[in-house]
Amino acid sequence: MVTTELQDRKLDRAFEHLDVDRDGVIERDDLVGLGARFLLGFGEPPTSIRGRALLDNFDTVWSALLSRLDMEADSRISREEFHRGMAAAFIHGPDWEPAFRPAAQAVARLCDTDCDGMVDPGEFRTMLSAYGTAEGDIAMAFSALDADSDGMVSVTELVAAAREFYTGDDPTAAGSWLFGRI
Amino acid sequence: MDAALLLPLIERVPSMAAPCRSHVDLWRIGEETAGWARAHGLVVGDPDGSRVGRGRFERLAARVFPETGTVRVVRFAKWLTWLFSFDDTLDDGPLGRSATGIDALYAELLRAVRRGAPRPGAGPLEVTLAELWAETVPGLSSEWRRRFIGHMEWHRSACMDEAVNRRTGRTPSIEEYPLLRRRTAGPFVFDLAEAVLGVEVPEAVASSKPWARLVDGTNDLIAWCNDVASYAQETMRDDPHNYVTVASRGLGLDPIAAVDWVNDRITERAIEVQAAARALPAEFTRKGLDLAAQRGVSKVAVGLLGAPRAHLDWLLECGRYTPVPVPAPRKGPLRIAGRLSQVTRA
Repeated sequence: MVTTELQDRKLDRAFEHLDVDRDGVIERDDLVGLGARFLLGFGEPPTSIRGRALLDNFDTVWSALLSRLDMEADSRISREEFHRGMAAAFIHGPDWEPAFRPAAQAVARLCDTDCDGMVDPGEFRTMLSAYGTAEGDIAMAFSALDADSDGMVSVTELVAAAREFYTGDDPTAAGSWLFGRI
Repeated sequence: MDAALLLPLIERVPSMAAPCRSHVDLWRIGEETAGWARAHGLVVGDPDGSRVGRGRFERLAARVFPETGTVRVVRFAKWLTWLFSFDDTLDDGPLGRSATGIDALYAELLRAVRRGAPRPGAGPLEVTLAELWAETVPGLSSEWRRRFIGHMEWHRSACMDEAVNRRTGRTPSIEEYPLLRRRTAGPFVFDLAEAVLGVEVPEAVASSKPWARLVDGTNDLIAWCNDVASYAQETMRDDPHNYVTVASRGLGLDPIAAVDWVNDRITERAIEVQAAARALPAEFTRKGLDLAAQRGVSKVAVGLLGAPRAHLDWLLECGRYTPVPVPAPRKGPLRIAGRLSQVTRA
């Protein structure tokens, strides 16, 4: 599965979002850790409707990734395997709609704390802080996504931006800036 | 009155709206925990014949820690078995009315912890506590151990306070009860989340206000839900240490209205707990936690956030607070004679 240089850089960033202990591999517990940090930022327990949806959908993404690599649920994934699995599942494969989109929607809905379909800069900052994104990159990312400069990003736009970031190949697309500079 | 009175909370409290996940090894966790409890004398005879035996604490442990290694979840289930066994020792016998008796028992328990071994010939509570402590603490810092033992001391003094109340027939006031209840709920159990998850909360965070609010609030939610479920049993024992009883007597409410009042407090407290959780990431930054440490502590915090619903689900399915049918009181020699004559005829 061929990926472009831009896609490789974005997948490297995505790998680093999970491999926070920098041991060169990710496992399911790393995804659990990211999910926990998301939930905590929004004060959401794993036993709310939105919290449970986030965890369930993260599991689905993990399963889709592993299935493309022919691995077991408790496997450890290297950076190279992560690139290969993400490309096979979500860039070239059919798993975006059934597996990744629900997870992206679950994250976006978590951000939309007042359920008005919009994410404000504070909610966006809470989300990106969970990934470890630097403050300057958070402001840059929000500006890129806020196309009409109304100070809000819709949940739908955020999901589309996630798709662009994880699968797209257009350096000018707003979604490529989802986490700031690449 | 039983745990079903808590069911409205599932619709009223967003943080308790979704059922918990459960551990894939639930059956094994249950078998190991039950076998250990029997082998150490915490459960004697038919498990269904005692409240601690009917507790099925693996069902609570497996929900609080659905993603954690089986061995650690078994150990947590054993800790729960120990705590509830200790509670029952106080509730079911004369010890619960003797502050000096509790003080002496607790002194021996803490000596066993510090010594790392029980006394020769010690009872099940001391033997199992020493064993659990020895299995739990490797790898945990002296700060964590101090915090845990400090919470055991907190528990000890609260149990003694309750004994004085029982002996003197005093009902705690509605103002003092929440803090007393938080102390009797076994606050050290919440420290065990770190041991189970293999993540120690740095002391700078563990001693911060947002963390204290999260832990105390979670403790309150669980304890108050437990009070609703155990109200009938505690009323039968004439034990005033129950939030429903305290509300009923303090506010002049009938029991059902008092349950509604407690459920209102639970609803409010859940909102405060979520606010405490939201304040934690800023606390992580203030205390200089790197991203890996933040993720680890977040797992502990989210485990606590999910615990009230885990406990609610457990309350609804375990038999611990289900009243066991009690034989009708004897009414006189005639009835006994009748039964005897039937037996004789058979």
